[in-house]
Amino acid sequence: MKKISILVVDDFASNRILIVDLLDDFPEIKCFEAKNGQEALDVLKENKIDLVLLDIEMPVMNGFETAWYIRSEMLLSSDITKVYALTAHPLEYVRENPHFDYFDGVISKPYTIDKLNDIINKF
Amino acid sequence: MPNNNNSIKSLLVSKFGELNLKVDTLQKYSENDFLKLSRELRNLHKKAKDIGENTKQFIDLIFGKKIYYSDDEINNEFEYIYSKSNVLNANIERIINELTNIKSKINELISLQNEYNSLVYNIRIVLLTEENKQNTNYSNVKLDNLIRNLKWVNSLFKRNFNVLIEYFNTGIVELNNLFHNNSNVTDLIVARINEAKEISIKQKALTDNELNILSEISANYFSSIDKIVTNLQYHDIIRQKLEHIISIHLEVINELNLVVDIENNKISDTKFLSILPDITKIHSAQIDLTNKECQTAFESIKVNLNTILDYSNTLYEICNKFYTFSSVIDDELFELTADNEDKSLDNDNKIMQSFEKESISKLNNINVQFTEFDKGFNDLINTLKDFNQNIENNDLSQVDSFIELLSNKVTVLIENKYIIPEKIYAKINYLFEDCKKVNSSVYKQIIAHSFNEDYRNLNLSLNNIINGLKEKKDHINLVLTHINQLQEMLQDEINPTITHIEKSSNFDKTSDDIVNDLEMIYEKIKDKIINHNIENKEINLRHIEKYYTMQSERNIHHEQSHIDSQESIVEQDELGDVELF
Repeated sequence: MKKISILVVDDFASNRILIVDLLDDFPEIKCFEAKNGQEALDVLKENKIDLVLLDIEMPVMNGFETAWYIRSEMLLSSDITKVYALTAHPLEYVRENPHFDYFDGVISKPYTIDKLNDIINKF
Repeated sequence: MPNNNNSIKSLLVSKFGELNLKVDTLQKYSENDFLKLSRELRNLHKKAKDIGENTKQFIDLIFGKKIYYSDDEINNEFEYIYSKSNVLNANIERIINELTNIKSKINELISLQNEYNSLVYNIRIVLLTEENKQNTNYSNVKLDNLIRNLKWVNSLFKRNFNVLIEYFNTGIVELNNLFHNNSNVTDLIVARINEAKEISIKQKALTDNELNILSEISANYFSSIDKIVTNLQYHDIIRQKLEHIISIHLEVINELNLVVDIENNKISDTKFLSILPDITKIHSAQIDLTNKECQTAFESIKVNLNTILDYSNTLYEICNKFYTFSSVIDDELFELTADNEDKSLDNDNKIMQSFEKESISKLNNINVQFTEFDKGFNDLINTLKDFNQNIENNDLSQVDSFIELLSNKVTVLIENKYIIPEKIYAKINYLFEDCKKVNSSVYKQIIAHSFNEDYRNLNLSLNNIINGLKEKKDHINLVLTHINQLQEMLQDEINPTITHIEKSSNFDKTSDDIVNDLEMIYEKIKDKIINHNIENKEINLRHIEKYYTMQSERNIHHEQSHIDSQESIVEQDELGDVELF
């Protein structure tokens, strides 16, 4: 597997730690963390990120707004940076949102290690 | 009525305020206490995973060492050893034959020397006998002395030949020993290879029987560990659900406060007051479900933790079993090497080196002695020549037939002098050459076909394996100790975590409390607050639906508010991800 950079965005620290811990098993993965959309954009401006795991419900800037900004304002295409929504909401709720198309996929909480592995193995 | 309404509204504001405090407590419980539990779980998850990784490493280490002998390898080894053994034994036999030939040549030499010697004796006997018989004074002191000296040198010479023969006999005996030793060594190596094969068979049996169990247990163990990852996320989901309930309650309180302020004016227009009985029912069901889900999650965590503990115990036991077995194999190999060291065949080299040195030295002695003998014999011949000349010169023809006989014998002796010593010299030289050749051949053959080098290689290879095994054993021991420590730590930490989960009864009690409060509120208001406008009610119920963003919340909302759930059927995720809580 090639070296990849992953940005984990979640306002709940425990959720971020869990994912970072799981990703720690992959030596090829470098992890970045952000606790809201705004922080995520700052990280994206400074670093080349291959995958963003973006929580939907967040203060300051939620997941939908962040995804929209990444695609429409930062003009980061899906070829450069994949953006996956991370949510405990039903998919219907996520799909209803007009910004849904900015995501490359949705990871439902609670997710399994296999689900996370499937996504990482695509790189 | 206004007063009643007012008192109900005030009661509701106060009750919903209380209720929200309780839900908030639950949420804080989720955020803090559950978070703590989550940290513990994450820690346990790491340790459990660490045990799993160490177990994998342990298995790799145990099975990564090469002590197997395949059937082909064993057959090749056997073939090689037998062929080498046969060549060596054939060479030893050939060398023994050559030594026997040399021995017979020495015997020929001895008979030649005896012949030569008897000639001299004959002269002396004739001299002495005839002297006595004829009573004539033919005795020649010089001649007699020479013969005596010759006798002494000859006896020395003969003794040395006997020593050489004896030495050759010893050499043959030693070579015969070598022959048998070689056969024993061959048997020994074959036995060693068979032992190694037995070790392989034992390990294979263990592999077949235990590895399947181990891999099955490992798979279950890792599956239980993976489930913890799912468990780890439940508190966040509970937190979010409670957050949704709190949001609605805050809106309800705000609206009720607003209604209280303006009193009788717009009661029927409020969004929430008219559907409060529905909200209480929905939230009661919501909290109830959340609590049940929470208890289910706790149970799942407990089951997973206990499973992990059981599996880690079993894994440790199996690892220990492998370790013990591996140690037995290591010890067997170690004994094999030590035994081979003892059986090393350095002796054969020593035997051959010593044989070469001693036989050449003995031949040298013989040569020196023969030279002395030859010199003495030359003197004798010269004296006899003088004696003969003297007889002729003094016209002793009348003496008698003795003189004639003696004269003849001396003549024969003189003639033989040029034949026999030459023969002896030549034979001794041949003997030298033969001995050197045999020695060199023996030495080369023994070196070339000796098992010394094989033993050294075998020992070197076994030593390498042993050293590698020792290193690995130390490493395995470290890993096993680490597994044991982790396992003990896991055991120490799992139990408090399970106890911690037992404390979830606080969550349970608070949930029950909230449900009771909501039911009490419902009982109080269900008859008093009547919404006559069904359409408005449905609109208002739909309005609060937006707060319920999780599938289970929405389902409850639909069930409790009697809204046609067909309209809100949610498609399942194609990837099969379903909401747990």
